[in-house]
This record gives sequence, C-alpha cells and structure tokens, in this order.
Amino acid sequence: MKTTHSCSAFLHYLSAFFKDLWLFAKTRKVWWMLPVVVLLLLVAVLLISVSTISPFIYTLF
Amino acid sequence: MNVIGISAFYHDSAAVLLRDGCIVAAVQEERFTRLKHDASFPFNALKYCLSCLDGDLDAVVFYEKPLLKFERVLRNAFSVAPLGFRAFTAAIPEWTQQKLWIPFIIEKTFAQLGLNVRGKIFFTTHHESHAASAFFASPFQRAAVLTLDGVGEWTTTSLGYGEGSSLHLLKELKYPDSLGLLYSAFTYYCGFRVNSGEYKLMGLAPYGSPKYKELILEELVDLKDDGSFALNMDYFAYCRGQRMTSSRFHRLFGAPPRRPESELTEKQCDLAKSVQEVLELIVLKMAKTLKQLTGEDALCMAGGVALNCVSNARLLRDGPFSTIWVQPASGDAGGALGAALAFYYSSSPRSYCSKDLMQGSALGPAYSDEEIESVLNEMGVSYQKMDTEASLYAELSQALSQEKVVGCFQGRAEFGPRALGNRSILGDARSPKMQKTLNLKIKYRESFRPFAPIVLAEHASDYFDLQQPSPYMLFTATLRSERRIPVPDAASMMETLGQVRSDIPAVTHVDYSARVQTVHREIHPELHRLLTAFYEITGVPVLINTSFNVRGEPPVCSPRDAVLCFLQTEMDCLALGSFWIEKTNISPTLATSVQQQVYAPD
Repeated sequence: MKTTHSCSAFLHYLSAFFKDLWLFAKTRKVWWMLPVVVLLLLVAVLLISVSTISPFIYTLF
Repeated sequence: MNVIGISAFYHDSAAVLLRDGCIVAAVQEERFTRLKHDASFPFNALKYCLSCLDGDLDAVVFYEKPLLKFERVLRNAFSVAPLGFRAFTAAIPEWTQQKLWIPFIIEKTFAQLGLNVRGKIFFTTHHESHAASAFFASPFQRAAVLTLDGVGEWTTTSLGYGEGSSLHLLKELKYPDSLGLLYSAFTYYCGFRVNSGEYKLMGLAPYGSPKYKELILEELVDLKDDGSFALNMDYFAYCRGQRMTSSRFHRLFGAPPRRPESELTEKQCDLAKSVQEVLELIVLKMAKTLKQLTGEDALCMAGGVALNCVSNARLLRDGPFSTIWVQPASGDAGGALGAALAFYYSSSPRSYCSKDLMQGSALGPAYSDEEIESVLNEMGVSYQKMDTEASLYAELSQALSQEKVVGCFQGRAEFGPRALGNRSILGDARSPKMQKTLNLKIKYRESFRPFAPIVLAEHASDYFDLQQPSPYMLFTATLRSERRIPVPDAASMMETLGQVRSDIPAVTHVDYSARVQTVHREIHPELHRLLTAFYEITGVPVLINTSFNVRGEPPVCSPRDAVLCFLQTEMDCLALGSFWIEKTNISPTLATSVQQQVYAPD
C-alpha cells in the first residue's frame, strides 16, 4: 500500500516536474534544455539500472 | 500564518519557522549532524522547527530556483567544453538524482514527519532570499539593499531597495563575474579551504601590505566607476570546476598555490591585504551607485561577502550610508530565513518596528536544566548546581578574572556562523598569553588568527571607535588611540604575534582592529549580566568571545556536544545551564576515556 502511494506520489511529481520544465523553457526561451534534461535523466536511469545489473554480471563471471 | 524556509544542497543547509512574520525557530543542519557546513537536506533542523509549530503549516519555501540554476550549470558546461568534463560528470548525478527533485524530496520528508505539504511548496530566487533576509529582518521601514555572494542561480550581486513589505531589485551582476568567487580564488591560492577559509584570509590581511592591489586591478578585474566589474577569466578556472585559479594566475603571482597547512609567508599576507583592499574598493563603488539609485540613508546587506566585517566597517566609515544593518546569518543558511520572509511579505503588510527580527540570533534549540543534569549524570561528570543565576555569573566572572578559559552554554543556540554568548568560549582579554592559549590549546587552530572582543555597549566607546552598535559581531572597529601601546616593527609574523599592543592585548589585532560585539541589555541580557559581573571584579568590561568548538567542528548544539568538547580540550571550566563544572574536579580517567573526535581541518 505504502509503495503504491509513494509510486503515485512520484508519478504526480514527475508530471509536475515536466510541466514546470516546459513552462520554464517557454518563459526563458531555453527550449534546448528540454532534450538535454530528458537525455540526462535517461542516462541517470540507465546508470542506476546498470549498477543494479552489475552485481549479477560480477556474480556470473 | 506559519511558513517554513529551507536552504539545502549547496553550503549551509538550514530550516526556519516563521509565524506571522516573527521568527520562531531557525537552525542549521550542521549543529545536529556535527558536519561543518553540512549541505544535506536539513531533516534534523526541520524536525526541530516543526516541534515549535503551533497550528497548520501554510507554506514551505525553498531558497532558490533549481531549474534556473541548472540552466546556468548546463550553459557553463557547454561554454567551456570539452574542458570541465570531469567536473560536469561529477555534478550531474547529484542533479538528476536530487537537485531536480527538490519538491518531491520536500513532500516526502514532510510526509515522514506527518505533514502533507502538497500544493504548499514555493520557490524564491537565491538573491531574493538574501535580500529578503537583509531587509525584512532589519529594523528599517525603508532601506537600500545590497547582496553579495559567490553565485546563486545566475546572480552574484544585486542592488535594490525595500519599502514596507515590498522589495525591488534594480541591478545585478551575473556569473562568472563574482566578488565572492574572486575572494574565494585568493583564499584557495593562499592555501585555505574555499567557503570556510575566507575568514582566515580576512584575518591574515592586516599582517601584509597591498603590494598586489594594482596588479589585481590591472590584470584580473576590469572595474567600472559604478562598481560593476568583469573578471578576466583567463586567470580563473572555476568555470571548469575542480580548482579556482588557472596556471596563468599562478604565473602572474610567481608561484603555484600554497599547500594547505604549510608555513605561511609574507607573500600570502600581502595577497590577502591586496584582495581585501580590492574588495573594499568594489563594495564602496557599488554602495555609491546604490545610493544614487535609491537615495536611501540606511543600507541592509546579506550574502556571504557581507560577513566580511572589515569591508562592512570600511563601508560604514567611508561609504554614503549613515547606518548599515547586516543579516547575522548572511550565508546560505540565512537564505532559508529570507525565503520564508519573502513569501510571507508577498501577501502581508509589514508594520514598523524599531528592533530587528533576529532576537539576538538566539533562535536555535535550548535545553532545560533537567535535560542537562541527566546528560551530566549519564556521562559521569561532577558538577555543582548553582541556585541562582547571580551565583553562576559570580563563579564564572571570578574564574575569567583568574585567566581561566570558560565554556559558556546558555539558552538557545545561535543561528548563523557567530557565537554570540550562548555557545561561546570566553577568556580574559587582558591576558597577553590568552590568544596563543586559545588558538593552540583550546581551538587547535592557526596561531595568527585573532579573537573577537565582547564589550558592554555602554562602555564600548571607552575602548573602540565604533560608528554604530555591533551586536552581531559584523563590524570591525579600531582600538581607541589612548589604549594603544606602541610597538617596534617586528621582523616576522610570529614576532608580531607576541607583541602586547594595548591593555586588552588578546583581542587587539596587529592593525589595532577588533571584530567587536557590543553587548546590549535588551538584546543579550544574560551575557550583559555576566560582563557586568566581570566588570565589577576587574574594572574591564571586555572579554574574549569565540565559538564553542574546535577547528573543523560546528559550534556545539546540545549539552552532550558541549561536555565532549570541554573534555577534549584544555578548557578550565564550563557553565552549562545552571551547572558549573571544573576540569580539576573531573576524574582523569573520564577525560582520557572520551574518544577524541577528529574533524577535517577547515
């Protein structure tokens, strides 16, 4: 139940974050920030995934 | 209306609780975690503030705008690429995992503490926060406002004015042109730690001469008449991260940066004096512009550079403003206060009050005698409980008059970097050996560093040439000429240190200046009573006041921190609430059994 709640809270914030980012880019005319931020977040997610996978690779090999 | 202000993730994280425009609680996270300049999210500070909350919480305000700051980080990285790649990649994980998710972190932390703040989270800009902490906390109904620091989002300096409940920022300087970063670059070059060694550079300056001032103005700083300036970035490396100065800077001054903890030479003293004079020159020019823009008589200041009390005193003496009020928590911790104040006054009127909002800066945790006694019993410390405050102060002042070093732990902890009597180590300013004793045996810090005097406000003019009261230790003043003792020119800095320059030598710096705290009955009543008791015994209304900590440690917060610090140093006595503790009554096994805390040098 708690996990579901924090998950929904995170999703709520994620949408709020992208809304803020959009408004920020629009107000300051920094559209270039949108792809950069998205890319960096994807890299971060990837790195977290890789660091989660790494122990398995180490264990396997 | 209850408003919480938060600063976090950069320098000194802190939390502040404001109720109907009055400060109920304000504390830095470092006081709880015991990590100096702790920048982590201020969970403990928040917990303390919420323990003082009465009623519903209306808003939580963060002291800067993360996206605006991130834009600066990205633009800076692109402008210097491919240089600075390592610093950029080191910074990005923090951004993607933490700094971009601040509202989420705030919401989650408050949920852990049992409060739902969804829809109640707001942001101000970094310099708005500084400006609000300066103006709204000041005793002025209208005043010019000057904020100076390293960098916030983009702004490094802002000039504006406040009137009633409104604040207007008129001009600004932007990154990378920063007075704070210029001073920090020299702090780094002289072998001190950036963001904590700036005080040391300021203290070192009177030992030197301004040999490099013209060189700095010719090569490093393009200074305009209105006080705006551009730094020659060929000499600085902070845009590329990792270090402050470039190899061209090192060639200009003829040597690589001094290694930390290595011997100080005349060169570092001269560099310190030179950059101090450049800083003062720039601040004076900015102040003149601000005066022209606003026409105000009073000035409020905040931002890390506003903690440079030598520059503040020069501005008061030679600048265009008749009175200056500086926010005691001028660094980033004060940003939490400013954020809350900016939010509150965006929708509330401000009534005139002749006093400032800071309550002597005593805004942190306090501990009852029961809590203190239980800690003392638990730690096995022998103590004497004093029946009255008068008997405690009599004991304290007697010990001080016998040149004993006394730890003083009373009431609420101070907010901001200065100990103003509630978490202080006190000593006799008349003693010629006290500066050395305090530096080497108590604080374990560099011997050149001066100590600040506290003086009864009503006697301040007998000792110091002060233009206005200085209850928060934010202005230096020179010792009155009749109290000075002429000394021959010393050959070295160490020789200078031993010279007796006045009848209060322990607090007289080499240039006869002192960072004075004037003690007022209405602002710091307990400290005033203590100083009065000391004055009655000795006829001298002056004591040394330094923060209750050792080098690298944040000032003590709880009774346990105080006892540990007391046991680990050569302090003689400790006044802890109503309890009087003497080192001679402590069993040697207890003193040696306390594990020596090791703090990283600051």
